[in-house]
Amino acid sequence: MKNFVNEINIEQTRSIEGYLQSSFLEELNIYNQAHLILDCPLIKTSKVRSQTSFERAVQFNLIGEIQGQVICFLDTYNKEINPAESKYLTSLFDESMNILLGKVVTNLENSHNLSTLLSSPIKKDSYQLEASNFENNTFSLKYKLITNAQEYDCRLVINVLKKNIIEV
Amino acid sequence: MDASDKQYRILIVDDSDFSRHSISQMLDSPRYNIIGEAANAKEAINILKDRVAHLAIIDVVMPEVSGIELAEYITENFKNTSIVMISSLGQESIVIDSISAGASDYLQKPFKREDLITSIEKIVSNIQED
Repeated sequence: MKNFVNEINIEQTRSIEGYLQSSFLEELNIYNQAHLILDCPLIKTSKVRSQTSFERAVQFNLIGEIQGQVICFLDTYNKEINPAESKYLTSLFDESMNILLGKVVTNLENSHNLSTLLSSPIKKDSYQLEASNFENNTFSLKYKLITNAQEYDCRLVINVLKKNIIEV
Repeated sequence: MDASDKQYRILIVDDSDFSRHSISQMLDSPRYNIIGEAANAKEAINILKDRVAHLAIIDVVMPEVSGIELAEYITENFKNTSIVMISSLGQESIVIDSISAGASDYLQKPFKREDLITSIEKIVSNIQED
């Protein structure tokens, strides 16, 4: 029985990877004020780098048939940002990630019948992934955020905690 | 006054500063008077108690009180305020919930300025003259 359960979980994880891969957009125009361009496609990962002092972050929770969390990091290393730009950049980044992930969960439902919702942005002092219900559940991908002739690296870490499609 | 000359009073409700600013920029025209910007339902209701709005543009996903709950409240308590819901989410069930809550239209983010203007003009064309 244990082996069977493990097989189901691995199969579920494979499916999740495929569903997520096909649901992320390659490019997104954010109100003509910023562009997101896929820089590194979604891969399964076992190691997640901690947040650096140059990274801003925002978290969203996935609720529904796919449950989990997405932590999005914006790298400002080597960028000169004045205080007025700083607030704007953080707000632009948070909303860009909200729009991108909104498209993803919409694609998950429309293309894969996975009914999933997205929380509002969650701001914290530090971000940590929760322990998962099954293995091989963490994925990462990278985007470039281009705004005001500046290019920023963004990385997204997705931690799927539970998938409610097959009850094992 | 001809309907095409009328100025419409609009409230923007979204927890994102960037989103509110972007929408406000899209509506930068003498035809539209942005009477307020609210980051949550409580702020929105306080503005509406003080100022009349022809239209409220409301984000679906907001902390504490959702945009759909706010739309229900506005539909019930501010009957002259029409509603356009906006969201990064585009699932049919959310669109249906929004319309059921009283919204006249639904736009998925990121929408174009033309789409927002078309939506607003369609709604205000049905507003009776005072």
